[in-house]
Amino acid sequence: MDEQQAIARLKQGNLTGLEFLVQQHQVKAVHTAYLIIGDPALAEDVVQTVFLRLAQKIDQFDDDRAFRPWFFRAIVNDAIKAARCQKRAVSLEDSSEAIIPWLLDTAPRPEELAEASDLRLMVWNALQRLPPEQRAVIVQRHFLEMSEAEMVEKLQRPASTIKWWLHSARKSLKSLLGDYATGDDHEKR
Amino acid sequence: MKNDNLNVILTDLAEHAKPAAQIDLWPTLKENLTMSDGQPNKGKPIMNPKPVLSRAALAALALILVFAILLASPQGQAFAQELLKYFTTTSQKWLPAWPMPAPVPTYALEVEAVPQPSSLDMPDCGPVISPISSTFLCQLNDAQSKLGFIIKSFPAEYVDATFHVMEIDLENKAIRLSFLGEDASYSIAQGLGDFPVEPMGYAVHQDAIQLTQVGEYPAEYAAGSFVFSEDMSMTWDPTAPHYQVRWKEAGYWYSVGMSLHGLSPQSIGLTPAGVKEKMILIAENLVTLVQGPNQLTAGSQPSIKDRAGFNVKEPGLLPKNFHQVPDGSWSLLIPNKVDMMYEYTENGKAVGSLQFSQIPLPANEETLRWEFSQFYHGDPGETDFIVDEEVQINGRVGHYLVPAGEFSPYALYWQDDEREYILICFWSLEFGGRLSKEDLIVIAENLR
Repeated sequence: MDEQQAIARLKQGNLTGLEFLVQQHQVKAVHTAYLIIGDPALAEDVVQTVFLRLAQKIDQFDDDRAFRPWFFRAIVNDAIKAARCQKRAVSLEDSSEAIIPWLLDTAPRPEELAEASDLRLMVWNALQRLPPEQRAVIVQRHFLEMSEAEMVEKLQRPASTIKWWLHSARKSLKSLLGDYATGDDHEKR
Repeated sequence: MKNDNLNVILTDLAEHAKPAAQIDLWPTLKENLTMSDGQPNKGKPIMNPKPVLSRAALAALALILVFAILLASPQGQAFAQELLKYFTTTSQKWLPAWPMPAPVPTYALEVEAVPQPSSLDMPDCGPVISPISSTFLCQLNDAQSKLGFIIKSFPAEYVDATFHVMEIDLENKAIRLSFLGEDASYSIAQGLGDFPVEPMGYAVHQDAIQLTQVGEYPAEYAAGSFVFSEDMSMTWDPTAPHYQVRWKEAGYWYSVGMSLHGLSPQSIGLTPAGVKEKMILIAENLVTLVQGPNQLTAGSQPSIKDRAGFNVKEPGLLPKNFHQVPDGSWSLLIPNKVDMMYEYTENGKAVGSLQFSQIPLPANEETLRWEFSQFYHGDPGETDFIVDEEVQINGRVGHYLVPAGEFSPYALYWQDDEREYILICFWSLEFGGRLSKEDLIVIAENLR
């Protein structure tokens, strides 16, 4: 079965179509939502909700459009909304349960691995300090690997606005990351 | 950090927080889909639920009907006109693409390079206002004497921004001031008489207008704007982070605008209602020159020349018919960058422009070249210029850069011991003349 066949089945009320789409996209979708929201459980809820909505409104989906961009746009939008609704931004301290022990793992290991862990910690910390919208821009560009042209189309904003957001998000990330922001410096360390 | 590194780290972070092997949404999803009010939905299509009007929707519909009846009456029509007084409005939510002028064949401009008056030596508040060496106060004072009325500007107490540019319309006795802040850009326009009719792209959808007050004066507030789609048509977006408040006072019209650099009011910690309150607060607290420089946003801002922190250079020679325009700016994108703009006019009409930018070294990885690639290509580091030709500028290596796209701007990029420079040429599609690579090199070799 391919995506088009899955969508056609879903339109007929056949849940195997939805099951196919879920299996195809759930991992990337949950990871995308997680990077924007910072909470894995909430990320799963968001993705569940988008799949439910998809099932209920599949008749409105235009078969001529590509499914993946449409679906991930919904994931990103819902993740931004969820991130805004959180009582407070997920800070380094807040998210300690799952990720911090791993990030701060001090077990002896080769220098290279220790440095990689430092860098992950800094990226995570920096990402969580960005507003949800800027986080989403970084995630779309660098995790979903959307081109700027795709982002212009998906976000329905002028190219100049997308460029501004990307620049602004990267600038914030860079300032938060300090020395690590300049890639060559890091590689030389 | 390299972009592909960032991808790896993000993937790593997400995978560690929620390993792919542990993600299986289907069982819960299936359960949710097949259960309705606790009853299995066996054999029934899950889609196309019959739409049912909720009480809230019915109430909204009733309100809409009341308004429709009200607006159909003579009193209602008067009310509608009252609502639509200050903004140029439209009932359309989609505007077709603006017709693009047909490009004409290009040719090399053969104009003599002539010595330029130095904008850096012009007196700060002399008869000619330099966009580089004059302060905001100087330009404001000059604009007041030209227009013959007291100009209101932003209060330093509520707007933290730097002055960007001033546009004066002597014919219609109007002025627009633009400022750039960290999170938003601000503008204030004002003039004698009635609000000008604006081009459709600047219109506001009629549903966006809200009546309000600025002090004792009736005012209108609107959020949203028309945004470009890929095909260059425009669609009204009520969530676009662009906000305006307009009112009239003592024979003058005023329009205060704010555009957020982020996606939404939340990006600056405000709700939509909070933005409206902020806009009205700003509008009610506008200040004038007589209240003192410290009361004005950018009132104490030094000139671009003085803020640069280095000796600004400028072209000593430019092709005839190029004139400096007051768009010299202090870049938000790159600290310490100074931009100077020159327009090329033919038959009184600007048909091309030349942007000259400089930044002191050590710049980070060819910053100005990076910025040019950002705006006309995409990612930093991409080298998809269709022409990237090494040239000699006063014995040093420079680069002549032409991006893809027949009508894109093109540039000359170089460095000396002190700083990076870039000269970028923009031309109207309706005008065929172009400066050549050699013309740009002559300009580059004659800085002072």
